[in-house]
Amino acid sequence: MKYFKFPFLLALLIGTCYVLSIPIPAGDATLPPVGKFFSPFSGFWNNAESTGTRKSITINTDKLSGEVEVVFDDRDVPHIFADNIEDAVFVQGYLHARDRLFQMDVAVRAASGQLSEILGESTVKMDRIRRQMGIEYASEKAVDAWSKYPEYKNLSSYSEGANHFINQLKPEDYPVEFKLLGHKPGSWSNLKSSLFQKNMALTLCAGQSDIQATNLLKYFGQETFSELFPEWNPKQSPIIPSTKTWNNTSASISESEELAKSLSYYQKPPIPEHVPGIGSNNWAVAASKTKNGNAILANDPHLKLTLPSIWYEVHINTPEVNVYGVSLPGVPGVIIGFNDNIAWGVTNVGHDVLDWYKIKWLNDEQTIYELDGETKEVEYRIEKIAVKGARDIIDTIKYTHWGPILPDDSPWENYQGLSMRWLALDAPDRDELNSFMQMAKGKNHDDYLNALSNYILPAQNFAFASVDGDVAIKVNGKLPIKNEQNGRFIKDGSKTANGWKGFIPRNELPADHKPERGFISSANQNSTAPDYPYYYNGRFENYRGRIINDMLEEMENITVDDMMAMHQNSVSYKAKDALPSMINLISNTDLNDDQKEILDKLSKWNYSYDVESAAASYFDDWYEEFYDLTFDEISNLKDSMTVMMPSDWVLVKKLEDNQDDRFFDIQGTASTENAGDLVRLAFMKMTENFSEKDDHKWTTYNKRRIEHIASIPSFSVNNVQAPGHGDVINAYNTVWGPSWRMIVELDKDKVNAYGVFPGGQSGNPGSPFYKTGIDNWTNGKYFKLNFVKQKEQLDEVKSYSINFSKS
Amino acid sequence: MKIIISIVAIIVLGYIMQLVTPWWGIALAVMIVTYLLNKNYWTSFLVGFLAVLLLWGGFAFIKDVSNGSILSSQVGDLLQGLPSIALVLLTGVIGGLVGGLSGMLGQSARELI
Repeated sequence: MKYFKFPFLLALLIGTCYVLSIPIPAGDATLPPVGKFFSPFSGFWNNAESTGTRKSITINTDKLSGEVEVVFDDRDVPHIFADNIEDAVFVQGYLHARDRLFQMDVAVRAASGQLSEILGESTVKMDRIRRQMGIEYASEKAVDAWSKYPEYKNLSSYSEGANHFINQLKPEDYPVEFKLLGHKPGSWSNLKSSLFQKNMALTLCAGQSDIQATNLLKYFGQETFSELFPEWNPKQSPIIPSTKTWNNTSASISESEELAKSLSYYQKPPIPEHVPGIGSNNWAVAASKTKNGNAILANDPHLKLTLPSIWYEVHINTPEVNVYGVSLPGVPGVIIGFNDNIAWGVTNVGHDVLDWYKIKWLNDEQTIYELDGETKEVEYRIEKIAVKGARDIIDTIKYTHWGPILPDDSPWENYQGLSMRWLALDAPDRDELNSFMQMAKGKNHDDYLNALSNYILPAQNFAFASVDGDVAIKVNGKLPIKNEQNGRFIKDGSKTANGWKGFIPRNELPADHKPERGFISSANQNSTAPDYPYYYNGRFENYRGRIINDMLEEMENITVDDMMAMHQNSVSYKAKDALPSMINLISNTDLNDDQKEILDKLSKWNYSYDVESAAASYFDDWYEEFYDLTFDEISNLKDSMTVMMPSDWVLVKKLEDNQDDRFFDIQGTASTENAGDLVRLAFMKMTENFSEKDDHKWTTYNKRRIEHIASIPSFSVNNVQAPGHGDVINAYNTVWGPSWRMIVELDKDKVNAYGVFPGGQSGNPGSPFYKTGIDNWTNGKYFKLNFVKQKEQLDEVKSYSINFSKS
Repeated sequence: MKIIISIVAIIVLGYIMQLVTPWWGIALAVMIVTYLLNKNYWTSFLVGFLAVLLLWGGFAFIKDVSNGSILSSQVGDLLQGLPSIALVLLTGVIGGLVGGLSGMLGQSARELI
């Protein structure tokens, strides 16, 4: 008997251990190995950080030229005190890796098309598109170009710092997401920093609607197209105000129409039209407009709200620089911030820098094409995609004069005739890496302009304020010069003349300094009035800029508190423009009691998207129904082609100008509807939608959350009770919103700054600093930022420190 | 008394071994002790089960308390909304199961030799 027991029990034990050691498939996801994941020595329990104060430690490295001391404050914000910038960014790399390793890994994988290596076949399609876009190829070229400039040594130092952390990491200390996915972190590199930057470019400057526009130009013809998609909104309040009058010089789009007619309709492109919810506000008021006589700068960039947050607060202090602000884990330096003399903030520039060209193939294999009457051959690049649990995929990507040819899988067959020209694929031609560090060292407006001259992309509206009391703004970056209407539609790719005509000279980019009105602002609207000499197209916001400029125009004796209140402002100009007309049109309709109550609430609404507001929900739904009924002519096309939809202001203008506009007619009905019919019909639909709901308040109707970066539900925060809407200053909508709010008062004696983001310094869900800022952010409150000149001034808020010492 | 000493011995030896071995290294610690203990199978199972339950569960409990259940509440959500304390217990039981089997194997090794 005993001879059987031993092998039996041995088999049983090994079997059990084996079962507990393998990942468990569960639908689309895979659960981690139970034994490894639950073991308190190696599993997730090891990521449960103590809520007590961390111990101060010393780290030895031979990579530094001097000693570096990092003081962490009560929110775990590092204050890096170093002898030089190279050492400081080494430590910044170390800390980014310590606190945000999984985030850095995912961002780079998403950009380069390497998600399938950890996630399996579900992400292959996405990876292939990234490869076909040539992101990694472009990053290789970028690193090569960067290496010729002096600032490259700081990037290398940053990567070394990150690797100093990664290399000493034991499996039991991997971030919990790595344990869940059964994947291990790779080392960092300069290439990865470039890929991170490309990921930002994908979010911020890869928006395009050329294909959608070409479809609709073909379908509707140029007259109707121009009516639905006008390039200038007369109510717009551009970033650089103009005193000149608008003269209609809109060039003909006949040539584009001719090409469009010759093409077949395109399906939804493999890259999104525009990333929704992207936008930002910044403004600065000059000393003359403030109570204390100090310029004040405010900024809130709107991005997808994620956990961990995209931002990481940092304070870098060396003899050359003393800068505080938010950084992006993946690149060195401070992106939005301030020093003892200046502050700067950014919003995205909506100029279109991604265009499509129709290739004239000269053979069936599509390997040669015509360009200016000559025969050209395509170039090739081989891409290998590793897939977890499956074989590698090899793709051959073709490049023309313009750029890559995108996909070949269904339903994108006819995209093979198109080549993509995207600015972010160009190798950098200036010391791009240096721009934010130069800004960090800046003392005045001249320094700010010098720093901006090195910046390439994604183009940003850089707001500026200084302790001298002046303010400035510049629409800054590499922006192509285009012929009128070029880039709105697919262009003939057989003529180089259809390409960009170089780039707008830096000193001719839209800019303003010491404006008479005493303030500058931007909110992703048109950079200029149409009198600007260079043509540009793109996507521009139509409401937030107007509110901000109207408010700032009126305000005097401005305080920091006023600016904080302004960040929370949730009043909608879209509602203000549209709702009175809509209510007017419904006034003579027979309504039941519930409907009367809803209309009554709408009539009394202050146009503010507040947490408890039911009227906000009613308006939003009513407006959406009205919009959908109006533009059924376009949305009905969606089955047969990809389309784009008109801006809201186009609908509101139709409502104001002509209630019998032909677009108000519903397709497929015998009668001819007008605006009144649609507004009433939409109202009935809306009230019906709400009759089944118990809770009508805005934040229930518009569910708001902050989502974990790998969409792991329990690491996300749901039902966030914060006000806002995409069209208002406080642009919080579903999962998009103000990702960092910063207000800086530029007092000569001591710069006062306040900031908050909806997350925390740590990317570890098991850290007490994972969600630090969420409550304050939700309630419109800020943290006073611990900006000091000497480390001794931090004694009161100091939690612990890390000393990096030369070994 | 011998049983209590054995349990303590597994916890101490297991703790030390877990710092250098993968998670299943705990099985070795249990086997060594139950081999020396030389009781019947059920006792060996119980000794192994209890010792690892205490080690894993206890260790998880300490981490959970010092973490204020920040992480366990989120991981619990991931597992059908398990409360933190259930997660601690589950950790102990998973470890205990391996411990119990190892205990019996240690005893059978003794009988074999």
